[in-house]
Amino acid sequence: MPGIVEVRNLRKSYAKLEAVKGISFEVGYGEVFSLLGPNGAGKTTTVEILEGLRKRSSGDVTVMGRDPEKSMNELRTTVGILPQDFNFIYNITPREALDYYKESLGLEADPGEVLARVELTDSADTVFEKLSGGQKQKMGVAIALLNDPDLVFLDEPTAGLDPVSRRALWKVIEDMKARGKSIILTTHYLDEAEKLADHVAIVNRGVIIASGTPKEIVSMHHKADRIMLSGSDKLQSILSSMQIHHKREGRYLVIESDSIDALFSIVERLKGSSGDIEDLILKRETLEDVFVRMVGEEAAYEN
Amino acid sequence: MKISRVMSYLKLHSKSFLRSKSGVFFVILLPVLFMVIFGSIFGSSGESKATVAVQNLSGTNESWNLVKVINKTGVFTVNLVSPNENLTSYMAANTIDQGVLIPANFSTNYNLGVVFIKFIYNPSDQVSLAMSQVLQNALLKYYTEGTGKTVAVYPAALSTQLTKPVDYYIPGLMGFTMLNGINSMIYQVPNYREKKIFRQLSFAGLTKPEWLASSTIFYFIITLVSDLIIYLVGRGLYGANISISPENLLMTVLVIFFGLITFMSVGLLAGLLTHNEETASVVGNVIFFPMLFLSGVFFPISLMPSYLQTVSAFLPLTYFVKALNGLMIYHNLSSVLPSIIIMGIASVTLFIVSSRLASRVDNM
Ligand SMILES: Nc1ncnc2c1ncn2[C@@H]1O[C@H](COP(=O)(O)OP(=O)(O)OP(=O)(O)O)[C@@H](O)[C@H]1O
Ligand SMILES: [Mg+2]
Repeated sequence: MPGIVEVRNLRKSYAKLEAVKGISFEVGYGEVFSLLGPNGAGKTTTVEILEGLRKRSSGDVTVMGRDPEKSMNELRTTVGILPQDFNFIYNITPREALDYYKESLGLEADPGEVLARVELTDSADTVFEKLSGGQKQKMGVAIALLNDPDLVFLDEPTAGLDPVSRRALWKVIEDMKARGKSIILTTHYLDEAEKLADHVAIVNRGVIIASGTPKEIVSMHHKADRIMLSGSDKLQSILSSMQIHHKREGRYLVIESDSIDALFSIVERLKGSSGDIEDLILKRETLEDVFVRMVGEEAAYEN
Repeated sequence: MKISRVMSYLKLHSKSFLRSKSGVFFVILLPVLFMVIFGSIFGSSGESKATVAVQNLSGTNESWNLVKVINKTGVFTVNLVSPNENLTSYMAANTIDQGVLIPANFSTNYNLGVVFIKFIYNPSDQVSLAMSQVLQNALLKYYTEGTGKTVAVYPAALSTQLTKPVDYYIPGLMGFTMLNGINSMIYQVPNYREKKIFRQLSFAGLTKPEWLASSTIFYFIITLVSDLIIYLVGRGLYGANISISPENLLMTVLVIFFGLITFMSVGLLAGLLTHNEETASVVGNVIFFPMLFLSGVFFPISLMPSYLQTVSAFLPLTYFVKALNGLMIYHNLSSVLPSIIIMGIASVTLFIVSSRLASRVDNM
């Protein structure tokens, strides 16, 4: 079965700048798909092409089997969109905005219920310009979810949210996923992608540099888990005497290995020197570490 | 085009509009405020004594005696008009609503026992009608009781209605309200583009033609309401001599509609060409103020120096105000009909062109 969204060799140029340089991916039904990437990577460009808001330069794109450039209006009741930098008419309240979408799209939805889901009930009757940044963002999410979409695009939905609201929104996303909805999530927060996404594509400079489940990406591009040690001055000579390869990073001595078991045995061997050890941190590489390293390496390579 | 979307945007926009103080001020209060200001300066209701223009073509003692009688009523301020003038033109020029013409053969009639004069009044002016009654009674009392003469006051309604300055302000200010078409678009378009609000609204399926249709309906209603207020205030409070005959009503509404969509198109084009609200406001003022002052909104164009008249000939508002003057002051549909047809064709064309252009603009 083809995916709910399919992208083949997508390219997009703005005048001289080629922002997207041949991206391909597929989002399955009921899947949370996350686009990760540094600023200017081409995430919004890609997503907005899928939303029918921008014209692609070349490539094939389908959303629910249709070309969004041509037939987005037929998908309005089944697709939800939260654009990056959500904005609305300055003196309209969230409730009125939701009423507008409800009436225009002929929905059965209950705006009050959606407002409650994004925790915006208390400010439902405050005009847009008087909402806080996070409340504005929540209003955007509420609009995207009002039609109970089968597919929802969330371009940095948690930008500007406090940690509690962030987690509340994660809950909303998880609930949607549990109900079989598909979600395309753009984010800078790797913990968010790691927690929510079934599939992650890391985009950099208009190309996908890694793709898979968060676990797959970490293990595929896995370089090193590490032990970080701090303690007495003798520590360094102890390690040297044991012929354990290490390097210094600030106050820590760092031992890296691509095998976690090897690290466990090193910890075992260090038992006798526990008096000289203050901190002993065993750290697995996270998606964030992989991300930072990969994007960093690319930048270094370019230069 | 889906009506439900047009209506729900109409609702949303009405809320936003009525909540914005500047919108309500400029579109509804300002024209009425102008009406009140000019009405108070030039209107007729504040006068305690009515001026009567008296022209004595006879010049005999008896005729001058009659002038004294009019004076003695205490109701009129007599304004003597030289026999060389045309009385009705004089009245028009000086905005006097009632006049007495003492004919050259006054004394001949007088000696035959008849006091014959012509009383000129303005039929659409309540005060003027009452004054004619007051004058008749005074004359009857003086002449029948005192001298046993028969009094014959020949009433003559002004054939060409008198226009007072306040009359000009009504069609003029109605023209002014058409200019709201510019403001309706010139700020909204760059604002909606800059903040990507139209894009956000389009997630409800709203298309640009629907948005334009909705805006047109909204501003048309608002403009009609504000024009109605101007009309009622002008007539009711300041005794303006204007009226819209039932047969001209539809034409008047059409002219207002054509004017509105002309200026909406102008605002839309200007809004599409400017990229932020500040520039838009400068461009808006550059378009707005010359029309405000040079299109006959506040002063009849005929009173302007000829070089300004040339400028005004290039301003579209001039023609809309002229058409309204023709319909409301001179009641002369046939003379303005050709220009209304041309304005209609031009305004609809302009509207179609500008909305096509708006539809083509991508990132709105
Ligand atoms: N309308 C546009 N015209 C010209 N260039 C654009 C336009 N939109 C985006 N770009 C350029 O395309 C590149 C990709 O932008 P895009 O917004 O897709 O990045 P992004 O991955 O969403 O970044 P961010 O994380 O900062 O949101 C950037 O270099 C940007 O400057
Ligand atoms: Mg972006």
